Amino acid sequence: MTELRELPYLEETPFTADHCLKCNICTQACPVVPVTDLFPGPKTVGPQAQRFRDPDLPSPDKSVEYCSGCGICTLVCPHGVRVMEINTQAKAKLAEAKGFNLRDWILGHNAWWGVLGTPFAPLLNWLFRFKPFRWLAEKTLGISARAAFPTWAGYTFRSWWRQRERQRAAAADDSRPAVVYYHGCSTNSYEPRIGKLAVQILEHNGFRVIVPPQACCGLPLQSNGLFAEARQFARKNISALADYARRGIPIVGTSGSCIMALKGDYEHVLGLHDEDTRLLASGIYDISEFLWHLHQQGKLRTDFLPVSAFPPEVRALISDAIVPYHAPCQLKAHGMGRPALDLLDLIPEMRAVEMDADCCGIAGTYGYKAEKRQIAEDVGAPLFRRIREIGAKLAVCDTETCRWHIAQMSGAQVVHPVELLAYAYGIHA
Amino acid sequence: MDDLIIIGAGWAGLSAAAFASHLKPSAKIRLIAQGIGSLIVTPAWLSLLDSAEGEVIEAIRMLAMRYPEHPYALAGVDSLIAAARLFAQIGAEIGLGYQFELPLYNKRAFTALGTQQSPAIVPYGYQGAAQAGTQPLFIGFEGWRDHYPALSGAPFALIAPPLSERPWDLTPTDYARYFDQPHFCAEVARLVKARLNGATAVAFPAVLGLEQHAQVLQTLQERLGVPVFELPTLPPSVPGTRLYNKLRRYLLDRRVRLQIGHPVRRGVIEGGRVLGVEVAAAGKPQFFGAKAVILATGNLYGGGLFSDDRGRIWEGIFDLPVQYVADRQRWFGAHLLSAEGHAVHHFGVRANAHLQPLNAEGAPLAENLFVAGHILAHPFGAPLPLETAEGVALATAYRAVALALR
Repeated sequence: MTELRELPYLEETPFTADHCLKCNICTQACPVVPVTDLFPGPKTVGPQAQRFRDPDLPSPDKSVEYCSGCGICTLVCPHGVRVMEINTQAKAKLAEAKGFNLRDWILGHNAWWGVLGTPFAPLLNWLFRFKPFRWLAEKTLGISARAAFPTWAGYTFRSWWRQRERQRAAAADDSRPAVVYYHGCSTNSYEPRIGKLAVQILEHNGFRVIVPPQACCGLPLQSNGLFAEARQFARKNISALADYARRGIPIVGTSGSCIMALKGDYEHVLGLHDEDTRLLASGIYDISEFLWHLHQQGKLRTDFLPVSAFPPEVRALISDAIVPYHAPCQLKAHGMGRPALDLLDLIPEMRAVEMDADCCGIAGTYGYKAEKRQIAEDVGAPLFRRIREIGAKLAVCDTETCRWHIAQMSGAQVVHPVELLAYAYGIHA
Repeated sequence: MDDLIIIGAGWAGLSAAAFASHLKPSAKIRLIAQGIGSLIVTPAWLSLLDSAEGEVIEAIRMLAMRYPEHPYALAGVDSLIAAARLFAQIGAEIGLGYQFELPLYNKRAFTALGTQQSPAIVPYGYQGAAQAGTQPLFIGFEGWRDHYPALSGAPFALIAPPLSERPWDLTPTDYARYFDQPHFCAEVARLVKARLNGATAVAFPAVLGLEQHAQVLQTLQERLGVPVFELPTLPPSVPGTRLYNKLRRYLLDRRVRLQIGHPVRRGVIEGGRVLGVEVAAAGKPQFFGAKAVILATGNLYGGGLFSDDRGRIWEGIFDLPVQYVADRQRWFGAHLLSAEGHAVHHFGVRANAHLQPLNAEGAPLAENLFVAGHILAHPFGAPLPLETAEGVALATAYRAVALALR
C-alpha cells in the first residue's frame, strides 16, 4: 500500500508549514478563537507547533483538540499553508496517543448507527428526544444533550432505490448518459428525500442514475482522529467508484462535506496519493456544481416554476423574504464558487443571498461533544442572529449537520438546495 | 458566464468589486483570491501622495504629467477623484467614516514609533490625531508584546488590561474584541483617565473595537475628555480587518460572489480575448468564464509577481512581461529605510491608457483584460509606490471597472 510517494517538496501537507510567515491572518479568521480561551488559534497549533512535531514523539500541544476542522484557516491563508489539514493530522496523532475514547468512537461510526437504527426508528427518534436519556448520554458519554440529532427515516434511500429499480428494470433506457449518485450516510438513513429528489432531478435532465455499493466517506472517523478506519472507508469508495471516473462517468453527491472528503481529504489529510484516489477526486461533483456545469454548457433544463407556483406551505415559508444561503466551510473548500446560489438565481422570483458567516459552528461531530457544545453555539451566533433579523423562515445549506444545527439555533427551516430546485421543477419526493 | 471576474482581494480587488456593484448593480461579479488579501495588513488609511505639501489632487496632477507611465497617469486623475468620492460614500455606508472633500489636504497620523505619516483619507480611528496637541499620551497594555508605547519616545503609560489571566498571547484582534465589550472599554477609560496628567490627547494601539469601533471611540473620548486616536499595530491590522469585514458583508449583500481560498492558476485567452480563468480547486481545476477580467493580484508582496534565486521575476497568471531590473544587486538600496526606497517596489506589469496589460511587443494581451493596483509598474524615480498605494489601487480599480463594464 503506497501511503506516501515522492511529491514536489512543500506540496505534502506537513511541509506546507514552511510557507507560513506567521502573519496570523488565520488566527484572526478562525471562528473558534474569539469564543473560547481553550484554543490558541490555527497558527499556533498548526504551522508553529508543526516544527516541534516529531513523528515518533507525542504532540507538543493538546489544545489542537479544540480545532473544529472547519478549514477557514486554509482558505484565508495567502501563502498556501494547509493549516486545517496539518491540524487534523496532529489531532489524529493526539487521539492515537490518548487511546480509545468511546464517545469519539461512537460519533465517528455514525455510518453504522444510521443503518442499524433504521428498523428501530420510532423508538430511537423518541429516545433521542427524551430528555433524561440525553442527560444520561451527556453525563456518561460526553455527547451533548443540547445538540440536534437527526431523525431516522425508518427506511433507507438504498431500499427505496432497490425497489424502484426492480419496478423500472424493464423500461430501462440505456442510451441516456449515466451518472453515479453518491448518497452518503445521512441521506441514506435520515434524509432519503434528498436522495430521491436528487435522482429525479438528474433524470429530469436526461441522465440514467446508477447507485453502486459505496461506503461512508470516512469524514466523521477522520475528524475524530480514527485515521486507520477512515482510510479503510476511503479505500472502499476508491475501489467502488474510481472505475466510473476512469470511464468518464460523473459521480455526483448531495453532501458538500462528504464530497469534499473524496475530492481533497483522502489525499491531503489521509495521505492517500495513488492514481485511483486522484481519479476519483477529479471525477466527483457536488450536485450543484454538476448542474451548474450543465447549465454553462447549455444542457440544464430550465423549466423552473416561479416561487409563486411552489406548494402553498413552502410559499408561506418564503413569502417576500430573501432566502438566506449559508455556504458551509467544507463546501467553500471545494473552490468551485457557490453553484447552489447560481442555480437558485435561475428560479424565477427567488431571492437567495449568501450570509456573511464563516462557520455555523457545528463542524461535523464537533458540536455534538459536550465540552465543545457552547463553542459550537457561539461560533454560529452571528449567522443565527442574521437569519432571525431577516425574518427568514426558510434557509438553504448544502451539508447535513450544518442544516440541523442552523435549524435548531435559528428557528428557520433549513433545506438542501435540491429541495428548492425540485419544487421549481415540480418534482416531489 | 460572469460579466466581470476580479482576481485579488487586496485594496484594488475589493474596491473594484465594490465599485462594479455600484456602477452596474445588475452585473454578475465574481472575486477570486488565494487567501485574504493584503488590505488586512495595512493601516486602512488611504495614501494618495504622502509627500504632497499642498492640495493633494493638484500635486497628483503634476505627478501624472511628469510621469506619463505612472498608474495615476494611466487611470487619469478624474478616475482618482471619482474613486475616492465613491469609496467615501461606501465608507460612510458601512460606518467607518472615510471622508473625501475637495480641496484635499494630507492628514496627520502617528505611528507606534512616534513618527508621523501623512495619508490623505483616514477612517474614524485616526481622525483624532489632527487634534493631538502638544502632549499626546501613548498608551500600552502591560505584558502585551505587540505594542510598546515607550518606543514612541513620547510620554506614555502602561495600564493593566482588565482581564482575567489568559493562557495565550493576545493578538491585536483579541484586544479589539475585548474593546467591543462595554465594561472592558469603560474600565480602560477609567484606568487611562487616572494617568492623563495634562495630556492633550490619547493614542491607543489600533484595537479600539472590531464591530463597535465608532461606539468605542466615542465612549473613550467622552470619558477622557480629550481627542483619542489609534496607532497602527503589528499585523493583522484591526483597522484593515474592520474594512475587510464590512466590505465583505457589503459585497455579499450585493450578490457579488466572493471566492477566497483557491488561487487562479491561469487565464484562458483565445483570439485576443480572455474567455475566463482557471482556479486550482479541489479535485480538478474549475473554469469560470467572464466577459471581462481585472487582474489585481498585487506585486511581489501581494502575490501577483514571483521571483526566484536567479533574479527572474514573472507574473503568475497571464505570464505578462514584468518591467524590472535584471541585476539583483540593484533591487535594493543601501539602507533598509533609505528615503529613496528600493527599486524592487517599482517593478510591475506595463499597461496602456485603457489599463490593458501589454505583451512583450507592447500591444494589449487581450482586449477584455485589465489590470489594477500594485501589480502595475511604477516608473523608476517616481514617488515610492507606498506613498501612493491606496490612491493608485482605487484610481486604477475604478478606471478598470468603468472600462471592463462598458
